[in-house]
Amino acid sequence: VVSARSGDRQAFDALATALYDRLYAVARRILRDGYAAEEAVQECLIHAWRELRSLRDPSRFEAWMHRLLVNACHDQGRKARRLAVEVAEISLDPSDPADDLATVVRADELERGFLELPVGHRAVLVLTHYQGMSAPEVSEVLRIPVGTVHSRLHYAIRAMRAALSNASAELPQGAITERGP
Amino acid sequence: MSGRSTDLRVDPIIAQWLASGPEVGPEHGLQRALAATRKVQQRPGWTFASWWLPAGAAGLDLRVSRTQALALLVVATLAVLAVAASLAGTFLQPNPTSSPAPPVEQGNLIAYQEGPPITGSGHVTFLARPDGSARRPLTRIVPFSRLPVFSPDGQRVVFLSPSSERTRDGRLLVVRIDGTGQLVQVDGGIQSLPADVPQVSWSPDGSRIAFAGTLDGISTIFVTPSDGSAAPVAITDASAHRNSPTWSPDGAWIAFRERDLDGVRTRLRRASPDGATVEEITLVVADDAYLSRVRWREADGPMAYWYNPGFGSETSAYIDLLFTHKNEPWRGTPGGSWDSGVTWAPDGSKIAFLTQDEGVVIADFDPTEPYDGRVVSLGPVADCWVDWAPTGDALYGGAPGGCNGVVVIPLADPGAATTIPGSTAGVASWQPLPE
Repeated sequence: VVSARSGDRQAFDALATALYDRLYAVARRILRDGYAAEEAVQECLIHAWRELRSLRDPSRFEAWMHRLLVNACHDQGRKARRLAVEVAEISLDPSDPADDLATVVRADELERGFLELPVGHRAVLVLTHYQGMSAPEVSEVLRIPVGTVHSRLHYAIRAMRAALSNASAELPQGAITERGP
Repeated sequence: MSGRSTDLRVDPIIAQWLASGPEVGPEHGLQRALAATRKVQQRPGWTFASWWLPAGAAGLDLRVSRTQALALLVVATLAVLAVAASLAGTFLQPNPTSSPAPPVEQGNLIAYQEGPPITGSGHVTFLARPDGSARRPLTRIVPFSRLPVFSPDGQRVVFLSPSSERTRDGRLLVVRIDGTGQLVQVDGGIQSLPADVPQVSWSPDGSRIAFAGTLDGISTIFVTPSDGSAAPVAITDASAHRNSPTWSPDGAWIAFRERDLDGVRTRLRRASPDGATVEEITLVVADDAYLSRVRWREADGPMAYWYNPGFGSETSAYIDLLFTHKNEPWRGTPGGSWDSGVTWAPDGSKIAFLTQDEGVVIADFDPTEPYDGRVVSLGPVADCWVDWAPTGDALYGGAPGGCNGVVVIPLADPGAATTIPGSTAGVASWQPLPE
């Protein structure tokens, strides 16, 4: 990090390569769109390279990168040009034959509920329950008070549980057994 | 990372759903991101050189944050301005040269590629007048862009954005040339063809774009709204490979090239934009047969293309009068990229094409009289591809001797052809004149 901060391109490339998959996985989960996730990670890396000299404490590099990534996800979330991509991805993705109707309906409702959340709430949920960060760590990454982390988490989980309840209500009687072996 | 929050656990189903998905990003995404970072400079840090500091203070970290540095800069600038104003008794007048450049008159811009002298390798699209003035990048958002095509109103450009400098295919994006609005992805995630001539065509009203993309390994023709508001619709099925779509001037048809999966039959067809009606324009049956993309002269009128029936025959520059008869203004061996086809002058009175032995050839066409056989050879003034300037008094194409540039050829004096400064390989697009 120190070498990259002083302008060493190779050092930055190595850092970016090592972090890319993790950043992409987080962005993909926040944005639920592969193309938008790629864009967000790219923006994050451009910003990181441009501003790296302003990072005072190299040990905070990873938290700093996650903050840049969530900011980039906010920007992506503001862009209202996803319709074509999402429709195509849904229609082109081969469906998993192991999926039964319940799983599909549940995933659909969770997806819908998740996408209705603001990006900031999605980020808290993903950083906590996918990345395994503690509330103080999320607080540092997002630069929000710990209390706000808790309240966002509470709100997001409640919304996701509501989505799960919707999924159960939507399933017709016998729908699962009809597709069983 | 330390332990999870214990008071706000999620249900296992939600946790499982959150965890599902790819753990690894696409390799092309990493390469694209790294390439993008190479296009920006690291901002300089604000540090004091050690010899500025008193003895004993050199070991201190006296870096200032960017905010602090900006504040210092603002204070210093204000101080300088105040001193200057007090000395001169007046404030500085606005610099007249800092006003924005006047917009380029429509019909006088070319969208072309700059970059390495290799087709399909790390190019960036620029806009400029034919003499290279008023040059600016088409967009700064994507690192690579190629094969631009102007919309009929000349205000937008559709282009391919490859994911890395080594790939020729990529995302199909639309951008306004005045810099307003966002980039719009119009391919709906469908993989484009790795071609060296554009595989897109605007509808005459600019509302839709026909393009060739790959669906389950089959090259297919799609129609999509040019504002990205809906997913593309395939108008051809998987029974053959189709490419090179060209929209008719009245918007009623899209012509395209078709090759059966066994590679024996090659056709030109036209389909209605919804794919409901499909008609055959011409058919050749031979492994070595060749038909180029269609260039329309007018709705339901003559079309021009390269025609080779196979079996070692010569190739013709064909003018197809659609279900009546055909003219062959020239026969021999085409030059450059055959896919570029045979192009019509804006007024429909001539065709131009590239040949191997005679260079650029122009032939007359008069639909009211039998073909008079008059052709003019301009010699090797272009290579790879050639097309008409919208004014009809010039051609433009790949620079002779390997296409490493875009050349503009005035018909009044072909010897005075000039190359757009900085242009490299790749088919360019000239902005249409205003309606």
